[in-house]
Amino acid sequence: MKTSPMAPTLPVNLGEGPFALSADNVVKRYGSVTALDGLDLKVPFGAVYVLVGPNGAGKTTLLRVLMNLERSSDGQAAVLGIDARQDGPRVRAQIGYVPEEHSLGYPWMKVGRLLDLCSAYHPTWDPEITARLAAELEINPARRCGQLSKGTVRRVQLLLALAHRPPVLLLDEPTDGLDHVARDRMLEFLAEYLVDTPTTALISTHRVYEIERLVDHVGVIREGRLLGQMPLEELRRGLRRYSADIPEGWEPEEWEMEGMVALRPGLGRSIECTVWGEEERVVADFAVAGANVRESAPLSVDEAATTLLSTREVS
Amino acid sequence: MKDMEFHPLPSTGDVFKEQTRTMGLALRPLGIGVAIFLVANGAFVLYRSLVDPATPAPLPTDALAWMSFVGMGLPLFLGRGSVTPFRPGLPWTLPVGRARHALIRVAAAWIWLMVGVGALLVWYVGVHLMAGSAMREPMLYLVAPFSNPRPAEPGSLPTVLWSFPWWIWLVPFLATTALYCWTSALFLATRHPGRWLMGTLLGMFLLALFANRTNFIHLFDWVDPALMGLLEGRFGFFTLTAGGAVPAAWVDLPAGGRMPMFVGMPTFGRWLVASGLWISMGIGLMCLAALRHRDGSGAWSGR
Repeated sequence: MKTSPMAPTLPVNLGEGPFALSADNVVKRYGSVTALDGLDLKVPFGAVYVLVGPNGAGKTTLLRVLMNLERSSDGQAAVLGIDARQDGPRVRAQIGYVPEEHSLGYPWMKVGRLLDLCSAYHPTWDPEITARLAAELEINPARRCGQLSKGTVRRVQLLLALAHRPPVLLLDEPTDGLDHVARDRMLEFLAEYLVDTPTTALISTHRVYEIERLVDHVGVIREGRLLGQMPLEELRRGLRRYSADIPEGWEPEEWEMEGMVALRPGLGRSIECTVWGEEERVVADFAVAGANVRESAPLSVDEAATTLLSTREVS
Repeated sequence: MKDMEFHPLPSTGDVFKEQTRTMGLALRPLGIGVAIFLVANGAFVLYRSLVDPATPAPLPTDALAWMSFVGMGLPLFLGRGSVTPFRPGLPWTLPVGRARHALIRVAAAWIWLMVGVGALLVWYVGVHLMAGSAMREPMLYLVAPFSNPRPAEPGSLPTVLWSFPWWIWLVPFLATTALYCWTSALFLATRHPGRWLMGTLLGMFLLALFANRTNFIHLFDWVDPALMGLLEGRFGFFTLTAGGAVPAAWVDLPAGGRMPMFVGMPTFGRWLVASGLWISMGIGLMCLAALRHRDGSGAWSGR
């Protein structure tokens, strides 16, 4: 697949808000390494926002900065309007967090006891949902945390994140370590939960296809910077794959089109292009170049993320 | 911003209660191990008293000083590969400031330390009394002044008839508390407290070796009195751990025989002040060390 030399300019402005989560020009440095490089991110109230990016893009660091587990070097991060740096505990009280690590911290402790421990820290802990989740996610409270498989640890972490009915969820690779059945069950439950409970969720993942049906906003992050963020509808409308017939002697490699993300030769005299832009404008651009668009279709979130992350950045 | 109710924070009391339960569970294996040892040891002491009933020894109260070191051992046990503020972990994602949380955990474990010391004392006294021991009778002690703790002619020192006072049974509680605070401060301040301890000991050994080999012995001229002051001084380590009631030396008398010598009289007030000083300094150091663990500090980055 041939990719365009530059990433298109994607929208980053989600309006005036108010936003449940916001990061304004957040910088996080570890010595000479910059993990977040002036990141601006907004998550509207009630949104289920998926953050996609390659390894080391800064997704996990961003979630930790929002929790005030890591302190940003510069910029401001806020959760429900609370400055994360100023009031970390209050911020964490509003958040259900599934961390990247598969660890519950107390290998000797029984799961039931761990639930009791966490319930003491969250006055809004809901025993009913805890019991229901434990049953649905097949969590045995009598088992010791250190004996749990990676997948079971993930399920316990999800239970801990949801049981106090937080208004905000930060989920870092929530399906990591789960088998197919457990993953489907967990996602089903998460979908139900998000419908039942007014929640804003920020999900960081590599496996976008797994959570695609939950998502309504997408953010793409690379090298600590946000390439773009938009509602899912806008992504579907704006980023489309076009199949077009090209005239004889036409050299696609030399052709440049505004918003071109990827171009791939098809069978015979056809090409497949992924282009960011209004469909009407793109079709007209094809026509001007002498090509005839046969069909266009939106990309799945996973395809869109993969395609956008395959581009090179505007210098 | 939309009108919304924020989730409340847990009260300090709830967090403390929960951490006390958690620490109790964490310490259970240690408690069981110690209990097995004490039962075995108690059985041995009782067996000896049955085999040789004619010689019941006085209750060895000097050994109370050794109980203080339980306070040093507790952070070592709790710090082994478990949750420490230097490692990412579930407790630090909970809605309590990390430094405050770390201090609450230390305080919660202290409750169990006191329970443990109390149980140890009851066992200790109980076993020895059952074995026929009795409280030590009043004895004559020489009393050296703090200004000259090693007099050239100790035989000329004044003597005093002294018996163990009631407050001697409180000494292990405050002494363990002080040592626990100091060791906890080390655990809160350093990522690898074991390495710091071993490094310090190794450093002192190498320095002593160097001084010895090079005849550079006056290097220690200032260290010796300072160290002795820290140990034997009015409010020194021995006052903290034994109420000053452990003889500093046994003196050969010119008329024959030996007599124990105190440096200064062991008094309740002196012990209380010494304990207060050591504990206050320990708590101060702990609070300073906890500043390393302010929210957002780098436990998650491994740096």
